[in-house]
Amino acid sequence: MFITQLVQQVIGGISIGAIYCLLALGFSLMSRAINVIHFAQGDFFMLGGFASITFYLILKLPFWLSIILSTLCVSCVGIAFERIAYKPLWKSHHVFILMSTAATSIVLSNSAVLIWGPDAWRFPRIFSDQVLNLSGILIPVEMLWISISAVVIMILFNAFLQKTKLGKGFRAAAQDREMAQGMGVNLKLADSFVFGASAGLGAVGGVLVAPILFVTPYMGLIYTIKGFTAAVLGGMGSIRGAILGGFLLGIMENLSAAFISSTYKDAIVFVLLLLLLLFKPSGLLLKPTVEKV
Amino acid sequence: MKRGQFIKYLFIAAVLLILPYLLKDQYSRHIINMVFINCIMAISVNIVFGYTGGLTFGHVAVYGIGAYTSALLSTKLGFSFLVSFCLAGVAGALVGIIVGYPTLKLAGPYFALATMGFHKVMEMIFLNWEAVTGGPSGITGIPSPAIFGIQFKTEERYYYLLVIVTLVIYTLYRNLIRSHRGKTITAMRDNAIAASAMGINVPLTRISAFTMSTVFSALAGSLYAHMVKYVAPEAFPLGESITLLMMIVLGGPGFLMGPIYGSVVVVLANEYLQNLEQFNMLVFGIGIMVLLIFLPSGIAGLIERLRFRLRAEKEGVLYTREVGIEEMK
Repeated sequence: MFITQLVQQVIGGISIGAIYCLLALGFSLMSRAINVIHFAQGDFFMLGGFASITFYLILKLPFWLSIILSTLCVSCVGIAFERIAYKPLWKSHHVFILMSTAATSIVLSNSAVLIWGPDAWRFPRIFSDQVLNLSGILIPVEMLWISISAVVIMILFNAFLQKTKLGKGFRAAAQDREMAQGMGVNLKLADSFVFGASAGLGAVGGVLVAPILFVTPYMGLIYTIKGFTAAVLGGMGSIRGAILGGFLLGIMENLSAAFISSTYKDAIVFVLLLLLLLFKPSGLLLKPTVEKV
Repeated sequence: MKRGQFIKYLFIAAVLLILPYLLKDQYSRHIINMVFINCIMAISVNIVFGYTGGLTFGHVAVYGIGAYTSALLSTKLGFSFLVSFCLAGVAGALVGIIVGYPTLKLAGPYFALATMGFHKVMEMIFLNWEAVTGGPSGITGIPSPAIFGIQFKTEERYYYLLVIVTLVIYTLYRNLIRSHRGKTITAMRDNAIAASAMGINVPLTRISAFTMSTVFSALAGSLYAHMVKYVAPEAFPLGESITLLMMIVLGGPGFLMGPIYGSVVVVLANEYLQNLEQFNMLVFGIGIMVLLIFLPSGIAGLIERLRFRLRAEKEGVLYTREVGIEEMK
């Protein structure tokens, strides 16, 4: 009985973990490429949810098209903020860029209140509400779909970075900007790609969980913290680490909600983050780095 | 003290003394009191953000801890104002050490998110630990302070108490920044590795600056609790941290007078923006972005630059007395 419950919780954790993976991937990408932590990551997630509501519920487009359109729109928002708000700060103290991203988060969540109102929106069911029963372990089909789509997106994204010429160029830009530029990588495009892609990854996550969650304008912050925790868990800047961290965080969160306390579920995550930062700030996969002059 | 300076201080003292009599209604007196409390908070955030270069979202939680500590001690244990005020400061120091020890080693963004996490944890505790904090309904019936038989019952009497406390805290803060330790803090902000090579104990300096700022925050919380006589979780939202950061950025991060200019302007502006309601935070967000790009050293930086130009014309000497966070790269 206990084992069944345990497995049940782990499976639930994996499906929500897939969403954390997408968020963590966005964080990791940006941290590695330009050494910025984007505080509005969770708000792009929220924006993705709202954009899909607009396209699917209000404009009545098919679901696949609204996924693509909302991802593109949110990516454009990400790029726009890069151009307007962060470019002029490039040479300032790093705290200023950090603060500007925090301000982005406020602007986005409050604009969402103005556009879509302060109330929670419910997305209709897209996937079937069947539940698979594997010898006592219940797996909702929609959870399965969400995790599979998230994993497919991550694989495609990774393949783009590893295999295509453009992706290789972007990775080169992340390692050494001047050198990459000398080799003919378009840095402007690479920067825009980083901002657009991480916003887009957040947005896809938002679209995917919209059918199982309520979408509210202020949901961004909590997902920012969770995605960040997942990214730190695996090791900030590493793509494999982000994926591992996302799944681990999902599983741990579900287990602590089931076996410790569901009221303090989020608090447990933060305590975990603090402990992790205290004892292993470089994450589970990366080796600690020493800062040199 | 030069004569001009003496006249300036005299003028400031006179304005501070008669201010409550210029404002007739209760509400604007309350707003003025809030300016002072926010001023203390802004000073404490400026120590962390402007001088040590750490983006903090946790100071409102410390403010809440100070308020709750003071409220609990004076309602449940019947402690007098002075005792609970001081013990709130002690609580702030403890929080500063407990939170600061693990988080201050972290690089910028990690520190920012860790403090944000700390705020969320405290928020949950305020809301859910009903036996102590009273849950969502909070703690009521906090007595108004009395020191050596003087009652601070009305808003205008409370105003004088706030003025005294704020001046004491400002003096402490000014002395900290101008002292040797203050210089080490700034050096550490500009380049931690170089500072440690010069023999500065970076972790100790960081934690002492952080603890000092959390003590100030907790004291501000205690003052707040005794002023409104009621504390509840919704008085300490994360958005308040954003407002504080807005004050710092507007006033001038890393400038001595920055938090004072910032808190006066932002609290008053907040009252005028009140009729815009949901635009309020949006305006703050856009305001922060615009200020960071066009006026990164804030009002204090602007004044300093004007002074610099004046001095350069008059005396032919080129120097600035203060350097904000933005000028040093």
